[in-house]
Amino acid sequence: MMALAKQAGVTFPEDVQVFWVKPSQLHNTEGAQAEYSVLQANLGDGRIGNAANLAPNDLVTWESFQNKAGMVPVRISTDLLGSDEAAIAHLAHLAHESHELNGLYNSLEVQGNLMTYSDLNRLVRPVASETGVPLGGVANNLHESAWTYADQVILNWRGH
Amino acid sequence: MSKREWQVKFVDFVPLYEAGAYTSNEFFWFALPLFDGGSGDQDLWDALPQDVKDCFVTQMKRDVATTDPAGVALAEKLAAVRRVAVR
Repeated sequence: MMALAKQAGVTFPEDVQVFWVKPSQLHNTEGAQAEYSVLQANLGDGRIGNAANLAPNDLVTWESFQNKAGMVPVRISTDLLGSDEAAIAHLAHLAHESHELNGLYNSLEVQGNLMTYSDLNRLVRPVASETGVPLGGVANNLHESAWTYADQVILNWRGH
Repeated sequence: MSKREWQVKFVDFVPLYEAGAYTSNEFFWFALPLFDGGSGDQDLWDALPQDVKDCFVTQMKRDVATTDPAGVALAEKLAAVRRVAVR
């Protein structure tokens, strides 16, 4: 799958590592089927915390997303393997995460590898949940443009 | 969550964590809700990887704002952890 992604032009920062996990082993609370290191956490009863008890103005760096080996994990649900177009589904999700991570990496690089937690949320979080609860993101941010990018990757891969 | 349930979850998660699929902070957040002040807490604490325990220690040293539901939940869970982490 990674070879296919590379062939389709999907690349990640060099310290990213992809893992296939069961749906129940994904960490996000929005039901997404792919994710990278999550800085939010589900505390139960709809209460959301953040991974380092971060206040809005606390600083996040690229290293905030790294595991103990210094790699940034990307997790893809094995549920996608059962879809009718498993390869397309995987490619789309890899493209989405690659767009976000490359954008985040570049933004952090421009800003001296420092970003506030609230700025991070504006950049990579959805604007709102399916039920309309604000999630911290803003319109046209990396998260939203990542879906446009993923669509384009799929269209190109299909030869359109 | 029963002791058996978290044991089942840990069997799955620990190898993935050791392989690098999660950051220590993510594993901390995975483990945190499992502390319920019950008899299984000590076993749960003992089973945590050391760098995840370190995340708990860091969190327990920080002030937790209890002015919102997430802060209240975090404070509740950390209080349960304190009871077993100091033994």
